[in-house]
Amino acid sequence: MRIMCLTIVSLFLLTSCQADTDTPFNQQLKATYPDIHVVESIVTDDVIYVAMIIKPLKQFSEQKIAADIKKDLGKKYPNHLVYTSSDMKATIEVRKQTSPLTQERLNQLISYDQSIEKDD
Amino acid sequence: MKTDTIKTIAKKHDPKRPLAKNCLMSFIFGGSLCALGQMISLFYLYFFDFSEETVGDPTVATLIILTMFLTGWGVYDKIAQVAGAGTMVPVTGFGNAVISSAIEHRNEGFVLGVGSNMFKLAGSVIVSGVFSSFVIAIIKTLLA
Repeated sequence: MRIMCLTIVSLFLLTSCQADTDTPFNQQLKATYPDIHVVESIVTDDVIYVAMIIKPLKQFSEQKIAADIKKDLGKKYPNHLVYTSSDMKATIEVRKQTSPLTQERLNQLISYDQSIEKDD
Repeated sequence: MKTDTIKTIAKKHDPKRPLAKNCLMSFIFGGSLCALGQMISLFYLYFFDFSEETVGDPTVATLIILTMFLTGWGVYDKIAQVAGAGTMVPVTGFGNAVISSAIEHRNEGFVLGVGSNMFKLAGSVIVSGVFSSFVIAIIKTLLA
């Protein structure tokens, strides 16, 4: 019981002390769209990929929010291909991405973009 | 003696149900089960190629299989005695219902006993699930 309590307390402390490592682009996105809880992005010369986790109470309309962000970013960056996803898997995968983005990897990430129609 | 009178007398001597305690235990155990489900779901998201849309299927399957084993070993029934509805309402109740019926009727043979009785309780859940998905599929096909 004591060990369990200690584990829970340490987990709370460790998660609350986590440093904010958002890039300026992500911080700007969070400031513009307050419904975003967590955001991860990949910005290259021709592609912008934004993966996000929406705040719990707004998750009923998360795909609409992602589509709106895609539309807005598309207007703001007309020379880039913009992809967005509110799927948690996309956020996990973007976090894992440390090496330069390959076409194969981009295709995998694009498959999480819910605004793109998929063949069943 | 009239039936109503017997009922009234029996009701007077009935032990009072600890409603608040039952609700609290259900809430705690049900919530813990859901938290476990979320952990399993995150595990599949991190380590396998499932997206948030598809991760529900392996999570539910894992929870049902876990419950089936725990019921077979006789652990789940002990938890259910304390947790009440907390263990019955989530999807784990389904696995418990299947295996409980199978254990109960095992003496009647594998085909007529286990085979025909294991889905007595859970069968209605499967039928309603299959039927409603069939109806929704038809509606989706017509609208597309």
